[in-house]
Amino acid sequence: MSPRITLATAARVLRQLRRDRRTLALVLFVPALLITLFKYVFEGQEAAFDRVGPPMVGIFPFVTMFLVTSIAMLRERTTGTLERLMSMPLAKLDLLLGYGLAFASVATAQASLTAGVAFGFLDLNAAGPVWLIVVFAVGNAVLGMALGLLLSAFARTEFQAVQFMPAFVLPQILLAGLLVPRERMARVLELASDVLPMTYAYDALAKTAADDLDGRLALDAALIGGFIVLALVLGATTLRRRTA
Amino acid sequence: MEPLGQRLEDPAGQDVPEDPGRIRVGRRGSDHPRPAGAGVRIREYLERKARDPLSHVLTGTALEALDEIADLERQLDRLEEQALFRPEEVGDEGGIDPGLRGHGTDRRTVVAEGRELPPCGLGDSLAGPARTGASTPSLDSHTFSIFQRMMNSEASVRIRDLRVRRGGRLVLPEISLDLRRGVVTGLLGPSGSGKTTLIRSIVGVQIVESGEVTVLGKPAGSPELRHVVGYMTQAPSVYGDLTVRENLQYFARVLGAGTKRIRDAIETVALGDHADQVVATLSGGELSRVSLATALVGQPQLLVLDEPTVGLDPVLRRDLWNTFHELTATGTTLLVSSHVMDEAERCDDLVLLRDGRIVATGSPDELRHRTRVDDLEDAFLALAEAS
Repeated sequence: MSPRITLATAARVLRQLRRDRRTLALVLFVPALLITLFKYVFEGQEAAFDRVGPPMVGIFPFVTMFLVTSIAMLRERTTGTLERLMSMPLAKLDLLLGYGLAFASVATAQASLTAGVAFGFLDLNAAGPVWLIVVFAVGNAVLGMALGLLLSAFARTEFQAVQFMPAFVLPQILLAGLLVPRERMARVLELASDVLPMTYAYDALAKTAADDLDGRLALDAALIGGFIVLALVLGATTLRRRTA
Repeated sequence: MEPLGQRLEDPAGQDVPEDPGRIRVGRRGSDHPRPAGAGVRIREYLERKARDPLSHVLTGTALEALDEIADLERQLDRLEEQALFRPEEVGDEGGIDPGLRGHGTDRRTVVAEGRELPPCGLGDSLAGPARTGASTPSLDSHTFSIFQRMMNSEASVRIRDLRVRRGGRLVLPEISLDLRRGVVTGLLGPSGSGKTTLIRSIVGVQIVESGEVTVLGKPAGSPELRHVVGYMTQAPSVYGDLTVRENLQYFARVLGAGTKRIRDAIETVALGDHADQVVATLSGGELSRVSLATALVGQPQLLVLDEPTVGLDPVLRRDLWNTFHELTATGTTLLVSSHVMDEAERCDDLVLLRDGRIVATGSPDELRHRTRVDDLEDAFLALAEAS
């Protein structure tokens, strides 16, 4: 692995994204627009908005980066650029970290913008520190990226890759406790949610918003990190130097 | 490496694993036995010595030398057969050996510099005059050409008993082949004949079922080779949303190549005017030139190009072939696949592939000699039908 190649890869991914202005605009502004929509849907129910708002700021980057990465990686696989890179002196970690760096920086911009709009203009209230919400948002983005990278290996077409969004991400959002607290769900569903990464991503955001900066939060953060590493390791095994 | 002893004891037997890539013409049977004793005894002695840790380095080299001698003997056999079986053909031209043909003033450089050095630089001063005009089929010229072959036989790519299954289909049942260093070898065959699979095996991105592929002395796909093997895939594998220059910048940085290499590569494929154009907006031919430039940018020692000239205009095609030959002058080995026969003429060596089997190998002249036709396409047909 070499910093030169990692940084070159990150720069290349960002340049590709920058060239696609429409995608970049959608990535940056859609979360802010959606949270504005939420504000007016919850008109007069400030408490509900304050409960859902902070997790939303942190979960958007997960969803966006999951989608963008799975499509980008699928393209690398189908256009042969991955095969070319794999025949070059590029370590798999260079590619993974390059993507991670690029998307983490986009996620930082996205989460900062969303948080700025929500807390600055929409009177969203959180008891905890807003910067920590943004930090978790970036962590979630990297988690989304790592999972997208892994799942891209199981899609042959972009149609399939897009369908992984409702297939893998929506159930996690449903089970994470955002709509119904986990302890009120059926036991089976609660157990299922125990092994899903989104559960801890949501929990961390909710705790931060409630200013419960305790040991459980640290555990959440550690688990998110663990899921990221696990997904990247599994993702690396899908990057094959040799194919059949 | 198959043992020399076996070859010597069984000089004309059908089962000798004798350079299966080479087509045989006029095998004379067993009336030409080679004395078996000495070679076997020497080898046995060396092999005994090789087990001694102190002398294994030395004897290892000696064993390699023996292998080369065996190679020489086989080629001598073959040439003798050709001469005796079809004497009228030998006189046509001195060029039974492709090493004597046109392009290369560089052919002898590898030898001159010894096997450990990269074959570049010294070349021109050591190279003798081109001998294209030689026309005496004397034993001397035979010996000379064999010598040359042997010296050049330090192969860049060595394939033994390669068997590859791709997509559930047995694409290459059993291939053995050597690619000489510093020449352009053309890999020709109809589509579906296994060219891409063979190429992928050489680059080391193909899962192979069995057999050995050695590239520049290392197993294909070794990490050390990733710096020195350039690969252009059949479909242009570049980033459509980046410009030509940005694509090259990225791949150059991965390979650790400087900005000058980027400029040179763009010049070579004549894309200077389009350097800042987004690749997705280029035409098909331009797109494959970007892909080619990407393969060139790392200054590879082995350049493997899968149909690089498809869809290019004749002038550019000629220029690219000139570039390929210029590259060989610095010691680069090229393997270029094509399904167009008129490109065969531009190669130093040819490998004709059909249904995953090697139908023939040799220089264009050699193949014409064997089949007694002038047109390479006809030669290919004759060879394909005979196989």
